[in-house]
Amino acid sequence: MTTGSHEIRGGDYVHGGSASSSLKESLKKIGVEPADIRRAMIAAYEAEMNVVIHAHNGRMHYVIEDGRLEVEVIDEGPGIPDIDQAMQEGFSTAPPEARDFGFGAGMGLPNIKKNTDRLAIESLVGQGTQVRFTVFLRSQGETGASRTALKIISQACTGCLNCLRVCPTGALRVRNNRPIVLEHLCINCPACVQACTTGALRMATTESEPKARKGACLVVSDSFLTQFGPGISTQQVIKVLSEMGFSELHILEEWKKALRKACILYARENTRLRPVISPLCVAVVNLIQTRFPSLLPHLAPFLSPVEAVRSELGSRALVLSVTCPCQYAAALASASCKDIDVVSVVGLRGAVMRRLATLPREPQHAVEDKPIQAAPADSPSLLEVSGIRHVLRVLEEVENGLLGDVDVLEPCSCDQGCFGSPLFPEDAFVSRHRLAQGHVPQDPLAKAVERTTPLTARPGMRLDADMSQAIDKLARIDALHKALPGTNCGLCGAPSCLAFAEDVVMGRADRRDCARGPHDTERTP
Amino acid sequence: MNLSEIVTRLGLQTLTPEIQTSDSVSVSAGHASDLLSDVLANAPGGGVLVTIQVHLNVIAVAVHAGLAAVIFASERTPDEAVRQKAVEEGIRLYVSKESTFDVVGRLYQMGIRGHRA
Amino acid sequence: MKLSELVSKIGGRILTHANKATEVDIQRIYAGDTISEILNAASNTTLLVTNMSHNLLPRIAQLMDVPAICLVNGAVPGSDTLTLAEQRGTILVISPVDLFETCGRLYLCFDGSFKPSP
Repeated sequence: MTTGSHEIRGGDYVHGGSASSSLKESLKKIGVEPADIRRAMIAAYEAEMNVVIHAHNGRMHYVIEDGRLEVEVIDEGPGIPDIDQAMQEGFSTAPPEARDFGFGAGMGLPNIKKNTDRLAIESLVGQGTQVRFTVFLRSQGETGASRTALKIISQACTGCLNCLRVCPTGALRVRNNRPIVLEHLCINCPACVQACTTGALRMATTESEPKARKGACLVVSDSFLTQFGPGISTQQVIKVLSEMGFSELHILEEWKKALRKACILYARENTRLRPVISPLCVAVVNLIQTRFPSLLPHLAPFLSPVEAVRSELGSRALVLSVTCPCQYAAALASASCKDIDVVSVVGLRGAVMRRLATLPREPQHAVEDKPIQAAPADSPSLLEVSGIRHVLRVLEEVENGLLGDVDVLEPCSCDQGCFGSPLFPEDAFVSRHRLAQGHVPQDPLAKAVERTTPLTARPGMRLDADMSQAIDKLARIDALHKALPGTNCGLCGAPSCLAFAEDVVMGRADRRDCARGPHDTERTP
Repeated sequence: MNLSEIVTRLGLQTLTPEIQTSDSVSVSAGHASDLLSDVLANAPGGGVLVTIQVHLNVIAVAVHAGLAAVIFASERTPDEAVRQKAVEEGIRLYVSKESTFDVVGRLYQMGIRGHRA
Repeated sequence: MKLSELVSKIGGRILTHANKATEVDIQRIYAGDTISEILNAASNTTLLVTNMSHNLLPRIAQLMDVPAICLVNGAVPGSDTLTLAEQRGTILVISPVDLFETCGRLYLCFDGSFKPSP
């Protein structure tokens, strides 16, 4: 983690930008992709100069951690009476001297919004303004690897190592009670979030309530509708959500249904490869890109429901409530900075609970079981698999050609699909059952969206740019692995002895971190 | 160079069609600036200004400098209040999709010149 | 086009880091006086041409990796601007004519094969 804090002197045009310069140095030192440094610089400079132009004094504070830059610019100044107005292009209250320097065109705040992944502005007239923004950072040369959407609170880590064991791609390390994510391996599934009992690993979204805005669409997962206990029907939750002040409400279930239909149709038209794999769960798609690249041709060429929503509704302001890190990353994937606000279900649930408390409780009806419809004779064989352990096993079977009798495979990394997200208090089976009893209105806009860019395998981290060096490293990893106890105890902080061997050869770990076994192989430099 | 020919050759969008056609307006000088104080002080009378500054004050400055027309570059379009004022004052406004640099370059190719210091 | 070549073609002169000018390749030119627009248009192959000549320009150039700034009207900038440009490695070019004329000359340096403007 890198942090920095700098004073900004109001009216001091000459030194204005020094805080941004220092931030740039930090970003360069870490080796951040130049395009991301560029975005960060535009936003930081505009924010810093806003203080110089308008305020008496201020401060820029930044934190760089887990592939994310968080910047806070706070000032003591006149404050902004109408933030929406201030965000309009062309609106400016800059004094004449600022205009001679080329400021005052009214493009500052819109420019910050354009170049950041999240932006929040708070202001009190007569006191001051706080601008906070986030820029997702990639390492130089990193291509295609998704940014991790996890937040790590090291202070809460007790070193229990639960996370190490559950990560399906071995992307975690725990060193000195500090969890570390190897980004090239992380698939953004919530397994570690679920396994962590102390809150050291969390999703990156804030848990505050989303602010309702006219003109903004709220998008929620179907599984959200059943998180309120037995006396609350899905219709009641939908009613509350519809009255929160958003222009439109979209439920993801309709989009999932559309995707399922599209996959079935695709399977009918493409009989060669079996099974066709539905891209329903982004984490599973990432998993295939990382660990099962040979299965990429099996993936039906559509976007996942969250990505489809972004694609179809992207021209409107969106507030997306997401249930897992992979949805979070998918929602904010591109740097095009559309008007998308991603919130976690926790905050939204709190808002709904408060409103539900004021409504009269509906009497509980005995729920009629919906008759189970026998599947028509020519319906495709559709296999739903959920839970990351099951998904891993099933994907291995697909690789071995053992699932040729299945037409469409729908894998989800959480139990029972998104119902099993660790952010939900209700049990996955219970809430899935409740949704089946409830009623979700149709969404005329829901559709499956075809993928325009094909998915590629993740390049992974190269052992070495030089081929002969890489081969040499492979040999060393192999030799060291053979010399290790092979118990995968995790005490070294790596999930397996093989992972530890790679860590040592790649310089991420010290050979002596292994508490057991002989120490003469592979002397650390 | 004839102003209407400039409009045609550069594919400019006319914002002030109410003002009479520009067949008789001849332009030989140009100025490029987004700083109104600079335009006020230095823009050549009878010349054309290329800018992305769409603030209302542009019109007052154009009147003061006696400009033949203002071309807004990069598709920057002033709002209706500005357009109305321009019509009132008789200042012809145009919009180009191209950037300031490209608009100036093409004007230069047609023989429009800036000042020599 | 190499910056040194551009400068000589438009009749300009280089005030700082002249030795770098032969190595800098200019592929884009941005002409304007609005900071926000300059930030958006900046790149490490952009030549910035502006009416402004104040001492914020070298800082902005360094932040956005802009290799060179062309000032106009033959006005030599203040010593603070020169010093800052020296310190930050920004090449300062002076054109003897105004922005319009400077851009016109620069435009003619590029043939139709690539777009000088972002």
